[in-house]
Amino acid sequence: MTAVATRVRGTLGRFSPSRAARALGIPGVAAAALIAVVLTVTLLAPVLAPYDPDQPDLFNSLAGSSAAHPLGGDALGRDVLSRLMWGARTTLSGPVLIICLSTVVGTALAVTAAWAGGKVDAVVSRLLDVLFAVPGIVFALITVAVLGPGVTGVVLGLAVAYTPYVARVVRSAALRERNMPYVAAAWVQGRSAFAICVRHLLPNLRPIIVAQSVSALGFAVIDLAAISFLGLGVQPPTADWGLMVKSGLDSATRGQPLEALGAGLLIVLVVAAVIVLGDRLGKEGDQR
Amino acid sequence: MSDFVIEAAGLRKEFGQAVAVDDVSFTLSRGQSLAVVGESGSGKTTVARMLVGLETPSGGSISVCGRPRRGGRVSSAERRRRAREIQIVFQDPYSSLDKLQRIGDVVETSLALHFPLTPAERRRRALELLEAVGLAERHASMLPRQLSGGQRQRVAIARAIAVEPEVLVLDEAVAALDVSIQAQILNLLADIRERSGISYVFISHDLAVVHQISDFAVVMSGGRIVERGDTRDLLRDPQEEYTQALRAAVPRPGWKPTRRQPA
Ligand SMILES: Nc1ncnc2c1ncn2[C@@H]1O[C@H](COP(=O)(O)OP(=O)(O)OP(=O)(O)O)[C@@H](O)[C@H]1O
Ligand SMILES: [Mg+2]
Repeated sequence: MTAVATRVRGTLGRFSPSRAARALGIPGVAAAALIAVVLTVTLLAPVLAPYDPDQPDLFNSLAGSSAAHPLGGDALGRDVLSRLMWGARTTLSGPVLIICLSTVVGTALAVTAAWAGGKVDAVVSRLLDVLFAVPGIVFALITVAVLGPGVTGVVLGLAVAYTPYVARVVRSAALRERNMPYVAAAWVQGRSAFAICVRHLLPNLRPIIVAQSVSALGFAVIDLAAISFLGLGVQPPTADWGLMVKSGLDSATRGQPLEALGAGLLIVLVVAAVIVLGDRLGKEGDQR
Repeated sequence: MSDFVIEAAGLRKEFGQAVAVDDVSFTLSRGQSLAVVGESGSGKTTVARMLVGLETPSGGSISVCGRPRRGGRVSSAERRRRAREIQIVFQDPYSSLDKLQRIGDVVETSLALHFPLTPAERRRRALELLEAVGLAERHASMLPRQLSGGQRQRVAIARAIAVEPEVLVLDEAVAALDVSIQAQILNLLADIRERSGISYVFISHDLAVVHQISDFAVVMSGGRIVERGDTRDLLRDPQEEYTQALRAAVPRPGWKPTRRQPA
């Protein structure tokens, strides 16, 4: 009974909304709120979107704002608002996948290098330096050249590109953590290297890993949107913000700017919010 | 079988060009305690780390409980066996505990590694150990940041003795604590030794502290042992100038702190 009570108190002590809000500050809370709204709309797109995003409607082609279509229609007359809502799914799920992959691989590499030290560390660090020096778009172009245009190739390419972004920061934090006396104590107690890494290093590195991957997520959104804009990522007719900027630019020259504006503005807002949040999470991690 | 729990012969450690420890030899008998004293940088910590296997000697040999310690890769079963021979408590009570691990878990993890206990038995034993170092049941659910430095050092001691080692190395284990807390911890260590027959390697730069806990002392300077003998004799009648200087640095009765003049 008391054990349960203390555990509950412990959990609440670790996360209380008011404490989290104070730690994030006003920009952090605003960013988190914006992301929460976008995520909600993304998840509820099937319910919230007024129209089928892929349904052309000749009467709505390049139409401006109206009561029925608040953001008008695109070149094929598809409802822009519905396409923005559905497009969030493709626009955001790709980057989330990229960052999940690069965070898992990057963290594993970083912790292994920091733990092993010596030659292993030297090889991993050199590899990361090389990967870091190559722009992400280049990797995406290579994988697209091999796998053909489409989301899979781009996601794999960018996952490789973002791995050093996570791994370098995590490695130097892991090196610091690894030299803490409590790690030496666990080793002298006979704990296995794996258990020390998983039970001690990873939990202590978590704030840094989270902060770094969240800000990487912001850049991945831009990269993937840019690649879709170039025609190598998400393929039409799928709704996607990067593609919508591209097709919207064309519509804009024909008098319907809302598609490009809406998609462009959403990309900028989401990226800014994600980067601000990553930055705040990083600062909070530093203070612990 | 010899009754030495530690036999160190000709220990040497180089870090690149620098020689941190040079030709250090000593023995420790079961149930005894050996003090290693010396100024900062004299190689004490390096000796301690070699004893517990955190550093590989560049030369010389170490036997613990009659078994020679060989370097190189060691299986985890062998590491756990060695853990039951020798444990260590570090100087800094703030970084020697994982800040995310609850106190009860610290001790339970240690027990789980070495003894086949049911969770309930392990929990009970952990509470016993915490009690043995002067902590209460309520501390078990706390995080390190909720404890004082002295309390944390008690946890580090509980974690080490949970393994029931033959030897405990204390590397400046009380140096970071207030004088009154130091005395409490030293009493606790004396108690534990009385009850369990454990042996100590007690590392300190403070001869006064050493005097309370150890029978025998070696004095280190620049990585070498410059003097050795009965702790009492060393304190009363140090032969080496260096040891005299160490003793002079010890505040004695009648000593008053002088206010430092602004430069
Ligand atoms: N990992 C290391 N790499 C390089 N040099 C080291 C390393 N560890 C210790 N040294 C050097 O070895 C010498 C002895 O250090 P050690 O920590 O053993 O001294 P100590 O007697 O414990 O000092 P203190 O009282 O300050 O703890 C020092 O000159 C130190 O700089
Ligand atoms: Mg030291």
